[in-house]
Amino acid sequence: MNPKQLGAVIILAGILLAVQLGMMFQNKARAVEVEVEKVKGEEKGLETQLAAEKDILTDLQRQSDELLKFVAKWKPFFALIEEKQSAETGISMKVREEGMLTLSQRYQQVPHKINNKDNVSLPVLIRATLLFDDNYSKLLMWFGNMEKIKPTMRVGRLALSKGSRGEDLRMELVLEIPLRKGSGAK
Amino acid sequence: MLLADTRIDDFKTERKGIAPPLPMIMRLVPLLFYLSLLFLVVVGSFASLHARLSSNHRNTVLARIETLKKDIEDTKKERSALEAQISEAMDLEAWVLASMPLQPLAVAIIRSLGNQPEIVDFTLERDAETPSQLRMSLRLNTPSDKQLEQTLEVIRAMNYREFNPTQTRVQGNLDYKANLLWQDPRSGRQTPEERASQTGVTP
Repeated sequence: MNPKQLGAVIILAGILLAVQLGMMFQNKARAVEVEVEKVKGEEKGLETQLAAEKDILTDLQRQSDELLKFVAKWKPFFALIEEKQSAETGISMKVREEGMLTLSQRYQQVPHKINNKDNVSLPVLIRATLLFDDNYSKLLMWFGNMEKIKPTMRVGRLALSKGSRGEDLRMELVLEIPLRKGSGAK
Repeated sequence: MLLADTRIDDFKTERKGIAPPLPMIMRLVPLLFYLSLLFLVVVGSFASLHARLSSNHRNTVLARIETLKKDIEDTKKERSALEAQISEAMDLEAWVLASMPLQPLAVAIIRSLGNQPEIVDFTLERDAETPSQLRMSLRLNTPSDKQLEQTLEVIRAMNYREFNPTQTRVQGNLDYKANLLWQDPRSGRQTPEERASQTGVTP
């Protein structure tokens, strides 16, 4: 190969290199554009997902609004787990205040289960088993008064039978007070 | 002094080893070389500019994607918190709806008996699994069943429906047992004040 041919080959190689470089730059730009299209697709998917999540949340808020408003009125009447001592003493104080003839009173803390399943929100019940022998109207008034001042208290059992004297009744009462999990107790 | 061209040519020595000229087509090579350089400059510049703009755009979109992901995460957290609230609210509601006061029912039943019959035993027990249901057991010392009918009327008037009733008479006493279902406990969501106003009936 003579020098002229060699020079021509070198220049041709330069041409090829320049074209290759140009094509490489273009391919790189195209690759970035493809990547942009890909992330745009991902963005669109995420926008759809966000819209769906927001729809679900809005639906849930709409559906639960009435329930939450109803429960908000009742929530302050539910004693917290931390207040179990005061829940017990609250009942025994009311028994003492009225000066009724009390044959026995027993307080227990029992786990609150329904169909053998723990109740997560109201995990503990204070169960007071009280046995009175006193005047019929005094007993029923006290019973009604307890339901009035503790609207979340539930009567689990009421058993009435003849008392020891003419107008008297023997009343066995099982009162249940649910204890709510506090906001800190999770 | 002027010399004729032919004479000057005559001074040139004979050169050896001069390569033969390239074919005519090879004259295009330098032209192509300059064109390729122009192509490299133009295409390279445009491509670089395009790549930089696209890269900026990609970074903007990626930033938006991060924001979207965070928004989705926040919305999911909000939904989880709301679901936990709803779950708690449902438990509390179930308790409230199934903890209807029993004193008015007890007073009404006792009142319905009047003075004639004597209650030997009267029990109301709440079903632990279905707290809106009560098991009632009533033992009366009465010769007639009429009294029981009146009592059942009173129970119905208080929105309780009896089912699985059994009635027996043992040694002059009338034994009546039934389950009582508080009718449609979800029909009205009472406030604590409304609930309290229902109970505390004077016997």
